[in-house]
Parts: sequence; C-alpha cells; structure tokens
Amino acid sequence: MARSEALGTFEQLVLTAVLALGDRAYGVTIHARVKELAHPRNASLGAVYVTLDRLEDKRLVSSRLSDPTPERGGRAKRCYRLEAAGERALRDAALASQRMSAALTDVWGTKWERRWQKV
Amino acid sequence: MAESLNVKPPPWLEFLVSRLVPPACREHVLGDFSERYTSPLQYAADALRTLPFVIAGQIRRTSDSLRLLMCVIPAFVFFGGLGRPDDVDSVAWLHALPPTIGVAIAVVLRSAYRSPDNASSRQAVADAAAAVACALLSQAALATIHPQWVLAPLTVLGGSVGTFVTVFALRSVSSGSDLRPALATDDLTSIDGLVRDVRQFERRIRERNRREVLAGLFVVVGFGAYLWRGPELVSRIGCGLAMTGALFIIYRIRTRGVAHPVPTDGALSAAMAVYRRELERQRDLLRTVTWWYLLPLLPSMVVLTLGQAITRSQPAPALRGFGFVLLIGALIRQLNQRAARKLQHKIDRLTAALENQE
Repeated sequence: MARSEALGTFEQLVLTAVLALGDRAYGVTIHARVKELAHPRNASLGAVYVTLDRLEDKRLVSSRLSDPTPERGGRAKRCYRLEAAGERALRDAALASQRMSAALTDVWGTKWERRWQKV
Repeated sequence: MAESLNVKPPPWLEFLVSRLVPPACREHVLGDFSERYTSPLQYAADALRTLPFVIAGQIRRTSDSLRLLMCVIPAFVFFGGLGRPDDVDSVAWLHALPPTIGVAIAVVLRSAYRSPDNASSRQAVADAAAAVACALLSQAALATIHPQWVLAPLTVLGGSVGTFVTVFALRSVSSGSDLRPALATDDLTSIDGLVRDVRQFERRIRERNRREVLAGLFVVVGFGAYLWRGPELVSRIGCGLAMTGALFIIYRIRTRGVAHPVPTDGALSAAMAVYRRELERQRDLLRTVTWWYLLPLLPSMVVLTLGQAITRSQPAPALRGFGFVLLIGALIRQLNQRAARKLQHKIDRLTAALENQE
C-alpha cells in the first residue's frame, strides 16, 4: 500500500471539513465547520486559508473558482474537493486516532471520553 | 447568511481591502469577506485578522529562493558589495547590504502581488522599478539615521541601473511560472488539453532560444570589441575564449534546443508519444547544462581573472569576481535541474496516460 502524507491536527480538521461539506466546501463553510470540529479551540479564517493552500500544494485537495454570486458582491467562490491522496491521508490519520483512542481506553477506562468532555 | 443579501460593505472599505489582498486570491477572499459582512467594523476586523495569513501564504507560494538569489546576488555586487578593485580592506559588503535587502523585499512582495493573468513585460518593468525604488528608499532612510553608511552617488546610480536590468531580465524569463498548481486544468489526456499544452511548450522554447541566441550574440559583440582594443595578451585570449564559448552555446541551442512541431491533427496517442519525445529531448538538454552552457564559458573566466590579477598585481578583487561568477553559474545549474525535474514529472504523466490507453 502506498504511504500517505503525514497530516498535522489542523490539516486533519480542514480535510474532514472539506470531505463532509462535499460540493459546498469553500472558505466560509469550511471555516464554520472547522470551528465546530476544533471546539473549544478557536480557528481563524486566515489559518484555514493557509492550510488549504498547503494542502493544495501537497495535492491532497484541488480547487476551482465557481460562478460569481450576488450574496458575495458578485464574486466567485473557491470550491475545494478532496483528492484521492487526501482521502488516503485522512483515512490513515483516522485509523491512527482510533488506535490512540483504544490505547487510552485501556489506561483510563471506557468512560474517559465522557469525563474529559465535561472538563 | 441570508441577511447578507441586503447588506454590503461600503465600496471605499472594500476597495481599500482589495488593494491589500494579493491578486491571485483577491476574488475568493473578498467574496468570503462580503459573505461574512455584518458591519463596517466587523469587516475591517475580519480583514485585519485574516490578511496577514493570506499575504504570508501567498509569499510562501510565490517565493522562489533560487530566483531570489539570482536577483539579490547581482544587486549586492552592483551596489559595490565586492568592493573597489584597489580597496581590499574596505567593509564595502556591509554598505551594500541595506540596498540589497531593499531589493530582496521588493522582489518577494512583487512576486506575491503579481497578477496571475497578466504576465507581461510591463509587469517585469514594474518589478524592476520596485526593486530599485526599495533600494533607493533604504538609502533615503540611511541618510536620516546613519549618513556614513550612504553609498556614493555613482555607486547608487550603477547599482540601480544594474539591478533594474537584472531584475527585468529575470522577471521577463520567469513570468507566469508560479502560483497555484494546475491539478485539474492541465489535462494531457484530451486532445484540447494536449494541444494547449503543446502550443505553450513550443512558444516557451522558441522564446528561450531567441533570448539565448541574443545573449550569445551580445557576448560575441561585446568581447569582440574588447578583444580589438584589449590592453594585454592574456585578457585578449580570455575574450577570444568567451566568444568561442558563446558561439558554441548558440550552435548547441540552434541544433539541439529547437522545438520540433508536434502533429496534433492525427491520433491522440501518436501526438502524446511525439510530445513525450520532445519533452525528453528538452529535459536532457537542461540536465546537461553544465557541459554545454557553463563549461564552455569557464576557460574564458579563468583566463580573464588571471589577466585582471596580472594587470593590477592584486589577485584578491579578481578572485572575488571569479567567485561571484561561479556562484551565478551554480545557481543557473540549479534552476535548470529544477526545470528538468518539472519536465520529468510531465513525462511521467504522459507515460502513464499512454500506458492506460494501451
């Protein structure tokens, strides 16, 4: 199996947002979804832009300009799409998280997730 | 988001922000700002928080350390960084640093703010003018803070002219070769995509050949004039060698570097195969640039350095100049190796597409 690109935590969040949003993935919606995923930490729109650029350079996502829309002052959206390499990288990151979660459950017990969420 | 249909940012504020957003991402970033708009204050705060990231991201994407060095090193030399031939112990390099840093800042910012759709020679002139303006600004600033560090007017003039010519030449060559990676657009498996790519490739090769031949002729004429009126034998031999080297480069470009036309009116696979052969030929030419481009000029550089050292009975300045020429040669080699790697990437894609068709 081909080795996938190693992802940072924020990159994982942005890729997840792009995957979840599908055809509606562009700056504003990706930022909103990343904020939800990163809660309680904050995520700025600028950080999302920079990460999207980096992911595009790594060819994990691709982008295209949509048609202009009136609610955006007649300006186009840059819509993002997950590429096959991006999906592979995200899958590997998810599997690693799952393994980590299992290891933590062994040490902290099965209720650790609920306990930490309250904190 | 529905309320934003009726609320728009004030045009003056939008105009102000649009001037700060690099053109390559202006459209979608301003669109996102408009969509999030609720009040002028929120819009300004949004822009202030986001723009540093956008500008830094664009600088990261468009900055090219090799090309930057190709602009900055000559600028350093033109502003007297190597010192005067008769002044060995000076700290000239320190005085040449502020204008060189100014040139570097201008080149980096102009790259980030370069329009992706308009790669004209007018932009190259603007890039060169910005580089010179920043160098002059550094001198103006020094005049108020530390007047002893200000360069002599003649050095400033020479540095400005040299920097302008260098930056203009380099930016004309590299125009439009940056920005977003074209993942979905450069489709080589359709006849339209292939024709577009082939035409662009042929045009670039023609322009490069024309430029190299012109530069070669310039070297031949320039060194020819010096050879005619040259002061001593060693320098005249150096001039003769430089002319021979330049003529060899012209010959090589005219024989091996010419782009043979790719037939695009027949079968797609046949056109792809011919195009791949053409790319391989150009890749090999770039990979071997040390042998046919740099080495033919090296003997002349050695002899000219020797001539300078003998004439002035002072080898240090001539050796510094020789080191500078070697450094530029190494950078040229690196640039060509990188271009060869890019071509290899395209060759691999064509090979994969051809295998899929079989």
